[in-house]
Amino acid sequence: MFDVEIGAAGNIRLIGRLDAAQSERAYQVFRGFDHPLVADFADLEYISSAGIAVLIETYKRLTAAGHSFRLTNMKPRVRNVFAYAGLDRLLQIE
Amino acid sequence: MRVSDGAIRGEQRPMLAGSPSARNGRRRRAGLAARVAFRIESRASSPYLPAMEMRRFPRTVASLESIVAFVHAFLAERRIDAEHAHDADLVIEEVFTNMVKYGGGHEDIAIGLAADPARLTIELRDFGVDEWDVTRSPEVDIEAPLEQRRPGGLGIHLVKRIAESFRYAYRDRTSIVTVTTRLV
Repeated sequence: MFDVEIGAAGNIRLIGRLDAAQSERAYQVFRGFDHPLVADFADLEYISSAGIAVLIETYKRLTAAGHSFRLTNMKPRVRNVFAYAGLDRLLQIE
Repeated sequence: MRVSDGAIRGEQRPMLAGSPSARNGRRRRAGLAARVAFRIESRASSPYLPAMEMRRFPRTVASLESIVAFVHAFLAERRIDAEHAHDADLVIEEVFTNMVKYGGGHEDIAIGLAADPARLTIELRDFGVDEWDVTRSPEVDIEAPLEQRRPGGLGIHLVKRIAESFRYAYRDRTSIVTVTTRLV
């Protein structure tokens, strides 16, 4: 199960598991964002390389348009995946 | 090795006495102390590995949900925590999706799990395929800036980071990928 709750002022909340089976749906959701974005990862239980690819693409697209994309409240096991990928230094993770 | 839709049970043998840390590890996971180890036919050089449970899954990413259910049931039965479950899920998803995308086969993919107090052993078998040693996939440059990053390769890089060992074998037109991860 994976879901994205869209709140006010560019805040979104990721819920569940962002894996290869969910990445296409996630991509379709994220491509609709064209504004500064703050993604709350507190309820994201799992992410794989397929999910990370969606976030990298979104990050590139938003920053190219002059917008910020902040990733917040990651569980340690999710943050570890970003660290293994060398992305903890490149993305705005808080 | 016999592969079926059900669990595989090999020759039953008593578990060897372990080190003090191994014994403590067993105490932390109630139920393991009374477990017995089983010989897995494909590992004659390591005859005291615990039982390997194996299932076959259709070669599509839509199988991931049922794979996760299989893995989590296996780990919950052995009281292995969420942190290790995350590692197992990630290893299996990355190798499984790699086989789906690049294996070139048409048959279901078999996933086997075995655990002892120290480590989890994960095995994936892709039948009726050409040889492709995934452990020799090109390295990903994780120092590269985002602008230079292209899709592909990251999943196997993650497996290499998580795994204690990552091995490939090929026989009878079957690719066999075996990964171990530490539990302590």
